[in-house]
Amino acid sequence: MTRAMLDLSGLEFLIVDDNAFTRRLVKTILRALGVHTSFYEAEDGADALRILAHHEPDLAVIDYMMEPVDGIEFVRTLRHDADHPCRAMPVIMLSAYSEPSIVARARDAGVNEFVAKPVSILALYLRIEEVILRPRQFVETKSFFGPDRHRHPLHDYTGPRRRWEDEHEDKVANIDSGQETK
Amino acid sequence: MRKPSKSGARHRENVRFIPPSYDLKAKAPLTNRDLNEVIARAQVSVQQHLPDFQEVLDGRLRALQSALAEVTRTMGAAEAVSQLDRECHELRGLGTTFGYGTLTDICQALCLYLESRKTLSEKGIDVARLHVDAAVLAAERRLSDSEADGQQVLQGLRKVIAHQE
Repeated sequence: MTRAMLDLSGLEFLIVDDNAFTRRLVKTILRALGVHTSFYEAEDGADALRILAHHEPDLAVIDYMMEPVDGIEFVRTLRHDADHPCRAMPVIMLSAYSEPSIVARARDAGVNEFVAKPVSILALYLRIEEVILRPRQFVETKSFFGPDRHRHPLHDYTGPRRRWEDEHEDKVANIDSGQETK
Repeated sequence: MRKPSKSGARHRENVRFIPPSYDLKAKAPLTNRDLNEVIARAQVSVQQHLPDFQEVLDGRLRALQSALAEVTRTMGAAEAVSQLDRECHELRGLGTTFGYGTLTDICQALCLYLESRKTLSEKGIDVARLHVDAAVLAAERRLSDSEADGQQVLQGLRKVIAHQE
C-alpha cells in the first residue's frame, strides 16, 4: 500500500548538533526525503542563534546535549524573544536522552516535536509532517511561549473552551481536507 | 514568515492564544511520491556513512571505557558515574541506524541502571563493567537486535542486574 508524502524540496532547515557526523547524517536523511535547498548548520545553541540573526529557515532540527548552549536553552531563548522573526519556527529535537523528564523539559521550553536517537528516518519524516500538516496554536503566558502543550482534546474536560480550534471548527475541517491552506 | 500574527491572537486573562500558521503546508504540498519507497531509498543513502560511523563508534567506545576506568578508580564517585552515563547515552543514540542494534540495547540497559544511581557500589561497578565489555563485543561483532547472540547477551545482563538488586 502506498502512502503519499509531502514535497519538502523548498523548505530550508537549520541543523544544530555539536557532532559533525550527526549533522552529516541528518543532512543525508533530509536530502533523501526530498529537501533540495542548502542547509544552515550550527554546532550549538549560541551558534544557531547567531545564524538566526541573519536567516529565517523554515524548520530546525536540533540536538539536546550541546555545549555551551544546549538545545533546551536555545529554544527557550528563541521563544522568549518577542521580536525574533523565527520565534515560532517549528523545532524538532533529536536526543539520545529520551527519559520522560527530558521530554517534558523540552516541551516546556517550547519544542514542537521530539525524536529519540538513534534517528529513525521514518520517525523524523513523521515529525516534520506533523508540524507542517497539524501545526498547533501557540500559547503565550508570563513564563511560557510555545506550541500548545495540550496536544489532544480532553474528552472529559468541562472548563472553558479557549483554543483557536474550538472557535474555528469549519476552518479546521477545510484545512484538513485541503480546501484551505491558511 | 513564522512570526505569529498579532491580529489573530486572542487574549484571555493572562494567556494569549495565537492561531497556528499553515504557511509551511502551502510551501510543502502533498505529492504522489510513495513514502515507503522514499524511506527505503533513504536507508540505502544513509549507509554511505558507515565507514565514518565506524570511526565515530571507535572513539565513543574508547570514551566509554575511559569513563568506566574513572568510575573504577574513584570507587563509583558521582561525577565519574555521571560521565559514564553521558557516554552511555551518546552510544545508545548511535547504534541502530547502522545495524548495531544490540549495542544500542546494551547501552539502553546501562542507562536505565544508572538512571536511579548517583554513585556505584563495588557490585554496581561490576554491573557497569559487564555492560561496557558487552557493548564493546557487540560493536566488534556488529550484532543487530534480532540476532540470537545479541539477545543472549542482553538476557544475561538482565539476569546480572536482577541478581544484584
